[in-house]
Amino acid sequence: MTSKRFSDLEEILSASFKKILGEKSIDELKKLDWLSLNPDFYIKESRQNRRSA
Amino acid sequence: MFQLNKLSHHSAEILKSRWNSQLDVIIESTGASYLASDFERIFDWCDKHCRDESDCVYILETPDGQPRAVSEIVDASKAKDPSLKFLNVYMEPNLCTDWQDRIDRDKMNDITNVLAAVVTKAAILAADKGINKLKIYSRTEEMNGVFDALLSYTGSEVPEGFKLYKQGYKWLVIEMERDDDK
Repeated sequence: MTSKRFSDLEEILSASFKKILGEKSIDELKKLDWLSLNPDFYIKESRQNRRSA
Repeated sequence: MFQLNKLSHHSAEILKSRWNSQLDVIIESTGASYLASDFERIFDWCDKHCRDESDCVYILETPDGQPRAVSEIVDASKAKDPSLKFLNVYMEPNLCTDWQDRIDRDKMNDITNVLAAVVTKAAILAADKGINKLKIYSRTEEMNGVFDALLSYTGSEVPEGFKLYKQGYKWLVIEMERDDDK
């Protein structure tokens, strides 16, 4: 497996993450384990807000 | 551009120092003092792994030694389905969303470049160890949704020599062609 192929992988992953995460609101990003230290808190908060709405 | 290096006592100290400097600025400007205890848990976790001399914590660094993320990557090469398991990643305070009201384009580029780099470097680590699968764990349903979107988006664009697929509900697999598969 050449380093060129890994560079290609990194490029497609970066482009994919940009597209997918770029379309999310800040509230949605906070629920992702990779981007937040407290995703469970934001997930729970969101569910409670939906229930009281 | 980035390097993925096994955590050492020295790199753990640098991580603490650099990330605490970021936290000082963030807390000063936003009042988000809870971040200090949140990141203290990460620093304690790093210290514990150094004391235990475990080899499953890796730091993603720039060439000049700036730590951008820290990741837990476990060698499961002795399992029935051998793999390297990418269990979690913690981003530096500046890229962490908890304290932010919005993420501008430059910061989103930075975040996505760091994520792509840490996953790719983990795949290279697997290949260097003679392991042809990197399994990436999603803890939350929301993160699992990102993996599903990734599979949908990459589709036929996956580079030659790689396969991307889900295994079970929680794992995204990057499978690499072995040199002896040719």
